[in-house]
Amino acid sequence: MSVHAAMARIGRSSAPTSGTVGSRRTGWGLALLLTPAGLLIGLLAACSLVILRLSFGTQSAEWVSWSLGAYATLLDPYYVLIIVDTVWLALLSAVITTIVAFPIALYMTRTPSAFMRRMVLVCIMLPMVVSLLVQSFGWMAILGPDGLLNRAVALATGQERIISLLFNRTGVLLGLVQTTIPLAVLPMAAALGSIPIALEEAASVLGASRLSVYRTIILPLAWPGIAAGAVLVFGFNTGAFVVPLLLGGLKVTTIAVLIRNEMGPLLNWPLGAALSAVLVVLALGIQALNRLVAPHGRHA
Amino acid sequence: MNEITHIGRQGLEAAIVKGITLVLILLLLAPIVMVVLMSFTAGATLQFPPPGLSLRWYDEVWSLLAGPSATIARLAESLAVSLQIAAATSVVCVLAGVPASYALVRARFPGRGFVEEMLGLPVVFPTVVLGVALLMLVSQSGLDLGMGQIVIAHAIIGLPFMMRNCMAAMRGIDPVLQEAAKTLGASSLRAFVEIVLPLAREGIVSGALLVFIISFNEFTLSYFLYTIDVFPLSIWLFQQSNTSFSPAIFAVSTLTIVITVAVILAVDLLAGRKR
Repeated sequence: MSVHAAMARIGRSSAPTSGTVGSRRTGWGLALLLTPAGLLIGLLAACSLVILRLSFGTQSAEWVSWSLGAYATLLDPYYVLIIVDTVWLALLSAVITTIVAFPIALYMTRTPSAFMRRMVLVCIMLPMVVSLLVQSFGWMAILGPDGLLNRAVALATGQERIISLLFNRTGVLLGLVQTTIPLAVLPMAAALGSIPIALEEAASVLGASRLSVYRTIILPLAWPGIAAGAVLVFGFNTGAFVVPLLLGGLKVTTIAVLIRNEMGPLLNWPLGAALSAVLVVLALGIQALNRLVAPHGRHA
Repeated sequence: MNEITHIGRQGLEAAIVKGITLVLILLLLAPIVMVVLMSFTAGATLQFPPPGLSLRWYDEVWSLLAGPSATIARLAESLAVSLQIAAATSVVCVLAGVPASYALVRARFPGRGFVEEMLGLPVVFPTVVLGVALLMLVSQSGLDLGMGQIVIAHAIIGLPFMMRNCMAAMRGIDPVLQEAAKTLGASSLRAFVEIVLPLAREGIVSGALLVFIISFNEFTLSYFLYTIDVFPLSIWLFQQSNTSFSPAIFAVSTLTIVITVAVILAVDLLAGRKR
C-alpha cells in the first residue's frame, strides 16, 4: 500500500477491518485513544458554530443581536452571480481535470516500469504540495507580458504581447486544474488498476475494437473512481481561494475571496459569515454527491 | 497474423498514452521548472529568456539570510518560523493521529463509521472558512497563542493525511502478533509500543513528513492567522511579491521547492521500501 494510494482514500470511508484485538478494550480506553484527534475535529466543529452564530448577527453587534439580514443581502443578484460563478468555475475545472487525469491514470496502471509509475506519482504530487504562491510566480514568468509564451509567439509571428492569460478566468482555471490533478488521478488509477486485463483480452478475442473496449469495459468499470475524483475536485475547488487571489489579479471573485473581503477590509462580519455558511453547505453537499455517483466505493 | 497486428496496435496505444502523459506532466511542472530556471537569471527582471545565467540572486539571498542586514527583511526569521511551525504541526498530528488510527483499525464500536467520516472532514472543509473562524475565536477570546494558533490550524488540515498513512500501515499488521505478545504476558500498552509502533513506523514517518511539507507550504490559514511576531515564509513571499518583485524571490522560492521535492522523494522512498 503506497502512501499515495492511501491519500486517494482521503474523504472516503474504508472497508471494515478483519482483525479486532481490542474487543475487550473498555470504552474508556477507546475514548482516550480518540481524544486528541477529537479535540482537533471538535475545534473545527466549534468554528462552524461560531460562523453560524455570526451569520445571524448584525454589523457591529455581531455577538448580541439576531437577524436574517445577512442572508437577505445574499439574495442580491451581485452575490447570487458570484456564488453561481464559483460553482460553475469549480465544475468546469472538475471536468477538465478529469479529462487530463485519465491518460495519466491509465499510464500509471499500465506501465510495466515501477520506476516510471513512482516518478509520475511524484511529478503529479508536486503541483499540489509546492506552495501555490511559488507556482504563481512561475505562471507569471510563463504567461506574463514578457514571459515565455509571449516571447515564443513573438518569435513565431512577429507580434508582441498578444496573449494575455494572466490575471483572468483562463489563468485561474489553469491553476485550479494544475493543483488538483492528484485528487483526480489517484482514485482513477485505483479503479483502473482493479480491472482484470483478461476482460479486455476476452473482448478483443471476440472482435471488439479498442474503442469499444474503452466504451463498454474500461470506462464503465472505472466509473466509480472517475466520479469520485471528479466530485473531490469539484468540492475542493468550490472553496478556491489562493488560485483566484494570486492568478485572478482581483478580477476573478469567488465565494472564498468574497469572504476574505467582507471579513477583512470591509468588516462586514455577518455577511462574510453567511457566505461562509453557504460555502460550507456547498462544499459538504458536493462531497455528499460522492455517495450517489459511486455508492460502493470499491475502488478505495 | 491477427495476433501480431493486435499486439502492434496495443504497442502503439501504449506509446500514445505514454506520450500524452509525459506532455501533460511537463505542463504540470512547467511553473515549478520556470521558477527554478528564472532564479539563475543574470538580469534584474523576469524577462525571458534570461540574458545570462548567474548565481547573483542566490548571493543576495545568502546575504539576506546570513549577512549583517539579516534583520531588515526578516527572511531568516520567517524561514525559522515556518520550519518550527511545520515541525510542531507534525508532532501534534503524530500525537493525535497515531492513537486514533489504532482505535479505528483495531476496534469495532458503534458509530465507528461516523467517527471516521468526521476525521476526514478537514479535507473537504473550506480552508478559508476555517481560517476566518479561527481568527474570530482567537481575537474574541483574547488569547495570545503565538505560533500555536497556526500550528493548531495546520494540524487540523494535516490530520487526515497523517491518519490515512497510519491506518494503511496498521492494517498490514497481523493482529495475531499482538495476541501472541499478550499471551506471553505483555500489557496492551506494551504490545502496542513494542509490536504495533515499530511495524507501522514507515506509515507514521511518511505521514509526519507529508504533514510537515503541507504545513511548510501552507498559505491560506497562515494568511489569516499570522501576526507581526509570527511571520511564516509563505507570508514573507506574499508580501515581497506585492512590494518589490525581484528574482531574489525566485531564489527563495527555489529553496522551498528543493525542500519540498526532497521531502516528497523521502515519502516515496519510504512507501517503496514497505512494498
